[in-house]
Amino acid sequence: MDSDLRDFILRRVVQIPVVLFLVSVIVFYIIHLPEGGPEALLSGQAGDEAIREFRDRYNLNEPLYVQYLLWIQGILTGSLGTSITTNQPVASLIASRLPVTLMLGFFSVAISVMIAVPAGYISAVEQYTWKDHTATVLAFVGLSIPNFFLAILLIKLFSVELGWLPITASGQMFSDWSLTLKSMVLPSLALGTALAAHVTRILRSSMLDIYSEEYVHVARAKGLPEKMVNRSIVFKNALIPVITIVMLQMGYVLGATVIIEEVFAMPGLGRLMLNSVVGRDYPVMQAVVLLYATAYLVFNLIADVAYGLVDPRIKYGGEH
Amino acid sequence: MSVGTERDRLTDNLQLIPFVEHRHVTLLHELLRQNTARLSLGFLGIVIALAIFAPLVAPYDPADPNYANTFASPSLQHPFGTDSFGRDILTRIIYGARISLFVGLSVIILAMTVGISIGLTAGFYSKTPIETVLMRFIDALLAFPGIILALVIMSVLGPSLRNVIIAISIAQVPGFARLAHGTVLSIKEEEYIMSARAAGSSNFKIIRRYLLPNAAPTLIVQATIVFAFAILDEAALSFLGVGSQPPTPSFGLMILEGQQYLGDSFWLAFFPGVAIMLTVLSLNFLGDALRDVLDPKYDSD
Repeated sequence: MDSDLRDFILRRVVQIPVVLFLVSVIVFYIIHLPEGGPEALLSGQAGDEAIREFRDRYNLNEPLYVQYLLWIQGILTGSLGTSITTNQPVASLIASRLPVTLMLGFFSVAISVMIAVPAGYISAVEQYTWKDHTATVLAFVGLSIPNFFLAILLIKLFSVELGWLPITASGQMFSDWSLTLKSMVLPSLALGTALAAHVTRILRSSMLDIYSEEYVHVARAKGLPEKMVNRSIVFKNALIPVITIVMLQMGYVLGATVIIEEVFAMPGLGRLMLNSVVGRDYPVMQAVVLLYATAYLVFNLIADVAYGLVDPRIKYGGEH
Repeated sequence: MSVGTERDRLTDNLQLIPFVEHRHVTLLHELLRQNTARLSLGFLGIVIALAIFAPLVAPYDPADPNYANTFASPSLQHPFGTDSFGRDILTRIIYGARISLFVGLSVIILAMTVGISIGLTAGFYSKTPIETVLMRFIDALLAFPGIILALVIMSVLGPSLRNVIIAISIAQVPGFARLAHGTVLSIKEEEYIMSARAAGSSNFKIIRRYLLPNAAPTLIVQATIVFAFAILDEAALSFLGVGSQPPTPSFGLMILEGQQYLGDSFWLAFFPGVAIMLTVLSLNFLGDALRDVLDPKYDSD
């Protein structure tokens, strides 16, 4: 690793806290912006005494910037506050919901790569054949179908009609592993299809780009069999843009967990986030949103590094 | 080439194309030479016409319940069946198209206006604190993955169609801001801008005469994509229950309702879902074709 690249990575790592700081300010102020503040949630169902107690408990009588600093102090000391609706510590809520979302994310990406790699490869190697056209049309459909509608189509076909797969593992999540894994198939497919479509297109176009590179012509001129050219030269070199795109698309994956977990009633972070939005449980919402943003920033960092490691044309000279 | 953040690279794909006046005339012509673009334009034309003339073409009233005829399966009277209130689903889809197109158009106008203003300001005041503050703010907005930012905004604004438009627009501002900012930076130092400035052209004139025409092809492609995103996001937010509220005939709400009746009355969710899919598919095909036509450097093959 040359020093340019190291500096670049370092600079990006240093940027993350800065962006996170801004993100935390934005989240905090959006939530505390409305008239009446977060305790508007309680009004109507609670008396003055309860509201006063609530304001004390969540420091709502302090000036806004003090509340913000208290929140940040809490995060830095490992305390994320307590949920308004369930009274549980936010940290333990997140810890209990995290495994489901991690598993959903992992399987979604895995399924999409398993679909996209063969589809994109064939599309590029057999450009303009019926196979390529089919893959292209399917990819466009995959990009256009709302993931929650695809989820419903899958449930109708595989659960309601055929009865092959469960819609949800309900209470058996992580205790009955066979059921847990089966219950992951439909959500992962519903979430991963759009990603698969995207990756298919990227793999195809980056492979086609590489076919026009000089080293491919040289390899062919030297008599390397076409299959070898396709596999060990073109495909291998096309993988890096694909990895980058997968990392950048993690934004879609993270956002989609909210929708897919809701459709399949999965006890994950996305559903925790949605419930906190609906119930205006702001300590939970703040924490989960910050977690999502952190994860996304890390994926972006990986994408940049992967991109930089491979493309020597890139200079890390700083701002353009 | 220097590495910026991921969005720089995404917008790099939509590289800026010098604007040629006669493209106006040939644009439609060239588009129509592609099968997918022809089909997409045709379909979108029908959708737009249906949406505009909804009260004239829709066979029933979208909100009028008919408790004697709930869950009617598709028939000649009700081609797409009726829902749990006995309302005609075809009618609701025609009115739903109105909502989708309205949201898409409003989001483009709002996000474009705000985004371009921020981007242009940052670009004109480059290397000043104004640029730093504006663009770091845009970076922070970009750190929210997917529809999370829209969700957070909805939690505060409360569920309604107007608030959906605001929330989705805010989430789409960064793309346009980046685009405008990049355009200014890339041509600011060009000789013809310098000479225009030396000749006394105002900032406004430079924007109108040089910047916008330069960015127009990229903006058109971006707008098509944002249109598709806005329709999907509105449907998703309504589906999650934090967007439009009943009895609005929003596609997302119709699918949400239909989800409860997958077993016996599948048409409740099916037809609205297909309606979103075909509309977004047309927009995606159109965006792709536009990029081919507008950007000779971008080769999708």
